[in-house]
Amino acid sequence: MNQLIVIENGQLDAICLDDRTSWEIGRGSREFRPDIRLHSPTVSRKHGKFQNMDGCWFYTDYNVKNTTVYNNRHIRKGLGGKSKPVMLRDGDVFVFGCGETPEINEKTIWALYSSRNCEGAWRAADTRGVHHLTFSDGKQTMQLECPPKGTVITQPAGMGIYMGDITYLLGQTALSIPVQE
Amino acid sequence: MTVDHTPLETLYLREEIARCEDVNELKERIFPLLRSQQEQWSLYIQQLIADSKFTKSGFAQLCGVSRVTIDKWCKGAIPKNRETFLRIGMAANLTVEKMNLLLRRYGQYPGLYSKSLEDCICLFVLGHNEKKDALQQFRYIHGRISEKLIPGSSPPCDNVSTVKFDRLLSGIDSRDLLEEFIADNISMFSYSYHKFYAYVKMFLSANNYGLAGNVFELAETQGWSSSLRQCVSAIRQKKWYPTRNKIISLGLHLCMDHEQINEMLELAHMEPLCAKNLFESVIIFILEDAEINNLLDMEAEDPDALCRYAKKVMGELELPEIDSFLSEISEIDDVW
Repeated sequence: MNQLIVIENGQLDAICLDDRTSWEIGRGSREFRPDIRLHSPTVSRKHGKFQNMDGCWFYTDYNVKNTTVYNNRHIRKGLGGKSKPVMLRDGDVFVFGCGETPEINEKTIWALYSSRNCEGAWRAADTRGVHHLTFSDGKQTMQLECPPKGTVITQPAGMGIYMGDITYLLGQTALSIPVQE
Repeated sequence: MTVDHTPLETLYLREEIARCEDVNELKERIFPLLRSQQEQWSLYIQQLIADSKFTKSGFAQLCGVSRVTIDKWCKGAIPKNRETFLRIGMAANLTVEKMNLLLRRYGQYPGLYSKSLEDCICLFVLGHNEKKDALQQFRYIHGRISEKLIPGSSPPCDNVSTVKFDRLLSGIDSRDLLEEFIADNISMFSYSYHKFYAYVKMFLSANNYGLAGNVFELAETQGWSSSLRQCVSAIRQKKWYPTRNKIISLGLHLCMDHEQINEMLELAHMEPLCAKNLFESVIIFILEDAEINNLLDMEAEDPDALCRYAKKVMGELELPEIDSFLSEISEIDDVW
């Protein structure tokens, strides 16, 4: 299953890309209703498109003034102003509407492309002020010390996304936080 | 202690190419650091034959070529297709690693890929080659499989990752099990380059080249060379076996940048453009120059602009690799 996990202003949405062959993404307008509607003013009304081509998923940025960062690199126009579609691979990360600084904050939208099959619904855990996190899915344990926002934890039976104040968990991945004295 | 300087040298060359202001500087500063592909190949094949137990005539017979062809190779002529490189590697009983080096460095072809039928058999025989008769084993197994199996006759199977496919193949220890494995996965072998085809089609679609990425229309409109047109036609039918220079040529025709050409090469299971290769150092220079100096007019939307610029730069260099590559580039308007 190919999914796009979008986190905007603390709200997580998991979109099953396989439900359609293409998805317009953007803020939209009266005349234009994108398939994936974002709300931040730093995102363009028509921002980009996710599209399936012969079974492979691609993202094409419309390269407007509000830029997109893909796996820590800005998506720029190609030679002669050509569009540069990127072929998506499991674990690819986007930050939409971040300008020149790829910062994850309340004005930018973070998204993850995932082709993993994990059952269940996403859960949110409060990680405000927590610097030491332990993730476990019963098979594997991972410890992180002050991870940066947008850190993705993939485990055999689940996954987690650390976003600072909130950490999102899926499948059997659980989070343990040391009790503060 | 042995220190491998390879990555550092390549990075150093890449940076030096980016610093070149024009083609003359490239010629003066970079070319003396590089040996031509022909020179490298000549030294390699001579050493390979010397290390084998065969005479030149014996080696020629095993590879299915004439003694004259072997002499030509030793003087620097490069075999024209990947199958010949496979035969050379198997005749010399190379290891998998050395076979990949032969294909990639000297042939400019992708390394062995388990999801390609011939490569799958080749990987098996090179890995089980106690009698040092890899080529004979390959011919025997290939012959038996060709008799029994018709590609496309079996139902499609689930897409298995290449890593998993490699692992499954490496666990096979007999010819019978290999034949069984191939029969079970026969539809997988026709799926080897689908990501590459999809990437080209997506690029065309995103840039409004013809209807839904109709590559053939683009080739017709731009008047591409007949061989490039043939490969484009084969891409539409998902039948093209990608070769390195054709991919580079296709990238130039489609006005792709360095990053995009590298992406195509990766999807065709090849290494990125290599600054250590004389011809590719010129291609890297052309792409960097076009990007850094913004040589392509964004307003004009001229699809031939990069090709024309490449032709101009390469035309100023008198190198055999470039002469043969230039014939791939169509006779477009010379005005720059």
